[in-house]
Amino acid sequence: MSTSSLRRASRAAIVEPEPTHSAAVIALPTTAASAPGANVTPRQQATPKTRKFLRRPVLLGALTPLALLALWALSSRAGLVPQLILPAPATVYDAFIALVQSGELFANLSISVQRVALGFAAGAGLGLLLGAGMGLSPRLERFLRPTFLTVAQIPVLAWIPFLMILFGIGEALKIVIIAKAALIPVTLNTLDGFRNVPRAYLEVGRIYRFNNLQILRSIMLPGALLPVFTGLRYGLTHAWHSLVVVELLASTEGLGYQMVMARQLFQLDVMIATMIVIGVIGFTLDKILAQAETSLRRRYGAAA
Amino acid sequence: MNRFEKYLGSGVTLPLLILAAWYLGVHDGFLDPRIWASPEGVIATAREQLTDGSLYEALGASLKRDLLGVLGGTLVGLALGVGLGTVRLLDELLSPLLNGVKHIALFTWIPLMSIWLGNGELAKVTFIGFAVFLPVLLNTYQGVRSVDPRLLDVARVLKLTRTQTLRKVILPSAAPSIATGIHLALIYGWLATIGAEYLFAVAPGIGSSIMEGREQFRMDLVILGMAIIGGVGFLLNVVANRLQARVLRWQAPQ
Amino acid sequence: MVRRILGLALILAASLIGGALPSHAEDKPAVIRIGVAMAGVGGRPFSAGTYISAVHVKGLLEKEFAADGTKVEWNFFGGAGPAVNEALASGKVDFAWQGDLPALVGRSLGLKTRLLLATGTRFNTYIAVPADSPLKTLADIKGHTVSNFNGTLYQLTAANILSTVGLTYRDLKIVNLDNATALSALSAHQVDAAFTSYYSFGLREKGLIKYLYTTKGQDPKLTSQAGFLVTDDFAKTHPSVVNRVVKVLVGEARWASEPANQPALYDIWAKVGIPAAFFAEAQKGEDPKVLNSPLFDPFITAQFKRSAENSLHFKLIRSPADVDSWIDREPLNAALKSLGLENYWPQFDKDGKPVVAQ
Repeated sequence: MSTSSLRRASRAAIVEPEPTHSAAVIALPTTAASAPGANVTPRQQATPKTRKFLRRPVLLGALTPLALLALWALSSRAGLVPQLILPAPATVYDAFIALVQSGELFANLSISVQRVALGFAAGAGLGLLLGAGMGLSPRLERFLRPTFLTVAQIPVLAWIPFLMILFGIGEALKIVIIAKAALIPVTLNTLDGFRNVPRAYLEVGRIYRFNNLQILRSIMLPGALLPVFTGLRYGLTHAWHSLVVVELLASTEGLGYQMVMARQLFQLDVMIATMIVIGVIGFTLDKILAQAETSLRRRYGAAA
Repeated sequence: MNRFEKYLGSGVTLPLLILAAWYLGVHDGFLDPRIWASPEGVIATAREQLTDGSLYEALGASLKRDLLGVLGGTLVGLALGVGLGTVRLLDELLSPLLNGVKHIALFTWIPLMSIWLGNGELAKVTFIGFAVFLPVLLNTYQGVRSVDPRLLDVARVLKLTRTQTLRKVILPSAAPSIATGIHLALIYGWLATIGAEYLFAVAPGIGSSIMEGREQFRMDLVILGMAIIGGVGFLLNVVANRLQARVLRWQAPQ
Repeated sequence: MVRRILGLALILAASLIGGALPSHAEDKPAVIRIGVAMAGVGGRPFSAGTYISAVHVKGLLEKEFAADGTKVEWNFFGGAGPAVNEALASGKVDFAWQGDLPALVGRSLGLKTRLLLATGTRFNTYIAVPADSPLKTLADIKGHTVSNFNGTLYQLTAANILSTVGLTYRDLKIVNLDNATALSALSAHQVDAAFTSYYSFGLREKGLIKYLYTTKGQDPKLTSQAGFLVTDDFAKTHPSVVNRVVKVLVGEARWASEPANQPALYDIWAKVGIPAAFFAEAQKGEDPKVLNSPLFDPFITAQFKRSAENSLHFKLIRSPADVDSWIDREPLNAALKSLGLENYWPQFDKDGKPVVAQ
């Protein structure tokens, strides 16, 4: 099997699941991170020319946010935008510093991170098991798949009121919601990963008289690695976004709670500062995982 | 073994087991009846809501909101996506900003939006539009950017005008990507509709009625609402798949 | 094509923004927009606990302004006072009914409003616990997880109640929940107690909760109150409209103050989705004239001032809010005079004791 057809196969595994089924059942709009285009950028790969333009786009790209920031600062200084509607950037910065100094930001942040870590670990762990199980055993898949898809079809948002009645608003609710959000993409991508390992590889394995364990270890796992990783990446993004929703709706501590408190007392500066923190974390998470995915693809996609 | 497989190993077994556990749990008391509704209770509620029309009213209100938001967000997303994809300066100026904005969790915008736009329909529809706008924009952009450069060269050789190039070359080859964007728009729009109904002021809608169920401990209302939200999502997905298939079929001969 | 799409988008945006801007004519506004810091169960567009609810249900303002072609728009905010502040800040409402804390938050942030009438006064708070809770006295809740609707008047009241047994807000693990969520949390034993109101009577009927404490029958300083206010902008452009609105409200406060009208009043309140009997129970043994008085007598004025001080003390507001310059008594006094109600409602001193009639 040629490298190009393999790449196509692995790309299909990565790209297809999103718009076809898992996008339909994703927990939350995870913005463009789950759009298929976000993964593969053929043009970038195709044209090394873009390198040459690197400096110009960076400068220009920084221009708009900076211009907006300047406009924001100037218009609040000139009193064009009431502080009640949009506090000045300096006020937001002060609020951020105050949050850091009081320890409030760190306390809430660590709570949120713990929740995501726990929920993600539970959801992704179960998702890997389910996905691998269904991918390896058509019997199990036939037994579980309809139920799984039904559960997945109902978005996290719709589960929240139900789970609130069952679990109240404590930690259990948050962990279950985050786990559910991570479970779906991890399961679906793992399932696809295992199922889409090219038949030819299996035949090669059989020719070499591999036993089942060897097939699993030497063929299935490496073959499914990329889609599984993609699943984990979406899972984590979904988990982070679900955390925010569930903390906004019912919270005791955490970044979402900090936003709700600020909203209740009309502290827009605190609200915007928190929003930026949530955004920066989401951005960093996604960038790290995207980077890891790229290097994985380079290693395994080409090596095989 | 074969018979076992055929009957017990099939996909309906697990749902039936869950249903049985639910039914027995409510009637034999290992599920708290003050919290749990019975399966037949949910069906009775569904029938009641269908006959008194309240279900149609709530669903209609939600779908109307959804449609308006999706329409607005898709139009803006398409326009901007084509703009960013074809005009280099625009791309360089705006793309980094948009790439940053997409990482801010969607629902954190709600408090700010409610201050800027109020708490009512305007804010809800705008929020839905905003949720839809980014995926449409990014997919359109992606589609436009990945048009085969050779096709563009041909267009140049044929001396097509900008509009002609857009209509005859760029849009057709970006169509599958755009269709994907619209597919995501339909799904995100529906989720944003439910979220908006939770977090903005309450008005008739399916999201509001599920929240009402929670307030009143009416598990039957909540389960019914979940089923409807899931069902609508499923139907929207079917519609979107059809649309995508049609676009692909239409594009295939090229 | 691009141009067409862009054009369409622009038109859409323009119409959205245009639609949001209020248009005022000379003292005959096209619409009077009222924000109410309450919505019924499941967001029903009704309110309870005040004479303003009766004004709404009977359509009295609509009748008053029908001849002018002025529409009256009622907005009910399930997000309570904080949501009303958002609406005030974004210019979505002209008049607002909200609890003292959110009103003070708005005031301290520079929302330009005038406080016109007292309403929803002597509102009692209940601390609910699960039916099988081991907690016995108020002091027992120290260290427990307790829900409260932060940013609303409950937050202030809770702090005041706790101080009677030497506790502060920080001695509890406070969970921010709206009324409805608080109750589901209580039933699921996810919180140990909840600050709530007659809103929770339904759960007590179901045997899911009981009450650890209530302000009912205690020091009236522990009760809470709300205010009816108008934006400065609206008051400046439409002074006569403000006077007419206040007059209608005061007239209805009088109706609501008559003992004979209580069953009818409770039926109106029941439209929020809470049985009328619960209101009857909540107000049992209290004088409807006291509960429905629109006056800023020394007691209510002092209550607002105490709330302002406490809010600052508890860091709920970040700069002081002045109460005296906020209350605009003119429309109320004019209404009392023209309705002949100057001596109708009893007055109370700053501690809540009756002022002996002169």
